Amino acid sequence: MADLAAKQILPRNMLANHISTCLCDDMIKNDVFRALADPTRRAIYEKLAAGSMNASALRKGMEISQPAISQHLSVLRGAKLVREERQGRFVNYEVDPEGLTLIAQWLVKYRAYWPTRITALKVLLKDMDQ
Amino acid sequence: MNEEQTKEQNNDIELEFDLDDPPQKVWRAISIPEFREKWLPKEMLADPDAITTTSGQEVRYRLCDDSPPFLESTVTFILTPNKTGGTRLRIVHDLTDARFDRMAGAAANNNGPLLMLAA
Repeated sequence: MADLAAKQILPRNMLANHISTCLCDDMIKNDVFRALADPTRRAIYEKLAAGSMNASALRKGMEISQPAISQHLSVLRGAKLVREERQGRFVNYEVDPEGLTLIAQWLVKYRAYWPTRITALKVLLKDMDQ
Repeated sequence: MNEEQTKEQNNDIELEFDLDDPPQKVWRAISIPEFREKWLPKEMLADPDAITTTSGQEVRYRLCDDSPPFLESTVTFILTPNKTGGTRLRIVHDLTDARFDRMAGAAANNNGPLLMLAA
């Protein structure tokens, strides 16, 4: 299960088939890590990766208040992971296609990946003979 | 027990973990394929044979992403005894994909704009 979750952290549709220029400095990287270090924000990000939606649709199935989700969305927007799109009276949120660069995606993916593998390694070590 | 420290250097991930078990045992869990596959899916390894091995201390494998753009990387597991009789496991994961080197190699060492190709 942990494995599956790790694999799904980064959506495939973000790997757009185009060349993009980006500023890839440590500050942006740190913002991205901080934003995605929180499990709720990761869940929000994954939901948006499947398609844009408004804040109340995002809240469905999550135990979270409206102010809290606004706060999380604000952090994700600050890290340029998510962007706002106004449609008349409504605001939709979507994954910012320019947000994560290839390298940043890779770093984020594996920073989350290894701790899950270490958890699995510890389970194995318990089962092994000395 | 837990993650001690983390840092990123350019395109590397370095993580350190303390494990309760002694290095010899952790070494078996990491280097023997039947054990390794129980915690590190074999699909992750581009090659089941290690690139380099220093028995009991260090082993390096070639990895490949399981999803597009299938970036290639190497991971090195470095084992040292810790103060409590357990193991300090250091994981150094380097992005080594040739496509990335070609596109970004020249710019990777500064903080300037970086041109990258999403395959």
